Amino acid sequence: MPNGMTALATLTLGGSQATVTFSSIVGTYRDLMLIIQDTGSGTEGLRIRINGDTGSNYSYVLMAGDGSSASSGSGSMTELIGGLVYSASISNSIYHFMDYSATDKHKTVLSRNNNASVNTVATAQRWASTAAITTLLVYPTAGTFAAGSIFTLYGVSA
Amino acid sequence: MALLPLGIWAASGASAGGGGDYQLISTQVLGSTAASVTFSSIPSTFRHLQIRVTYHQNTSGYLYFTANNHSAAGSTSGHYLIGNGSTVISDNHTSWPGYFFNGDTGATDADGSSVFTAAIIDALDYSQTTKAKTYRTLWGQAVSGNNNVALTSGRDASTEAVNTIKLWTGGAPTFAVGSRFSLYGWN
Repeated sequence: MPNGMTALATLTLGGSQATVTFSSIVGTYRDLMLIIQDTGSGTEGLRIRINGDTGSNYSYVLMAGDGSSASSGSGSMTELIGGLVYSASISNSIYHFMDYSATDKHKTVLSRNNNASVNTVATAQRWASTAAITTLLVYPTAGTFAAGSIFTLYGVSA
Repeated sequence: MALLPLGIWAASGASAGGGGDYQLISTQVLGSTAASVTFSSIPSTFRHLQIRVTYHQNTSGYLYFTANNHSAAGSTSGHYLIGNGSTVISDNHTSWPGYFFNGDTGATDADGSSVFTAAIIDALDYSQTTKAKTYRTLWGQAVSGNNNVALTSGRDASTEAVNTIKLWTGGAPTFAVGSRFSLYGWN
């Protein structure tokens, strides 16, 4: 049976950095999985932009628990959301980009995002485009990722 | 800013050859509508299974996950945590004909034909004959009027090794063309 998951790229930051980009993503896999463990320079959210699309083409629904209550929200954005980039504590996120190269559907993204000092989050998001995903731009809402932050992109076999 | 070009990585053979601890067993992509999708003759050589799904259903209605045709009422039980964009709902079942892996209706024709729901279902210790089977799912779609994200868990009380998995609709809905169902084995 074919190998089901392939590590496409891994980046461990040697210093602070404002953005991380995965480019020229080949279309030969079924799904992508992006695993992030990060800290940052402030108290920020984690954002992901697809193929340079800066339009309001991203929809989200999330469910969050912060230790005292559970909440849910939804809306449209100019990028994917879900994770955190905090200076005081480590955040981790796993994003699943389902059927990322299919040209007959919008792209559905599922994520789990956690910071043990803040909250745990699950999201379902949609990039309203039938284009294949070829670039992912990852960044905090302000400031930088700190040294030691790790970003790994996997291809899940078709 | 770090740019990570991936075309070179993929072409250089960074991926391993056949085998490995996470393997694709089978993929089905629907070329016509269907009320169910079945994976049969599942090998027992893995530790866990994972089913990765993107689907569109023509109309609202429930979907079920059934192992080894255990569809009698009460064969499975489950719990659900569902966020619908405004509230978080917790629910459970003990008498349905299958593991209700999604928790609510997926994307339908009313949401637009390009909108697909995604689900990642883990079947843990599926081939062990000393324990009941535990399933868990991350599921959802983001579309105005049908926003849903869910974490669900399910239990099949049977200790049989799972060799067949069926994803099926509980009545009116059918899976649309382009819906995709992939089965992977974890070592």
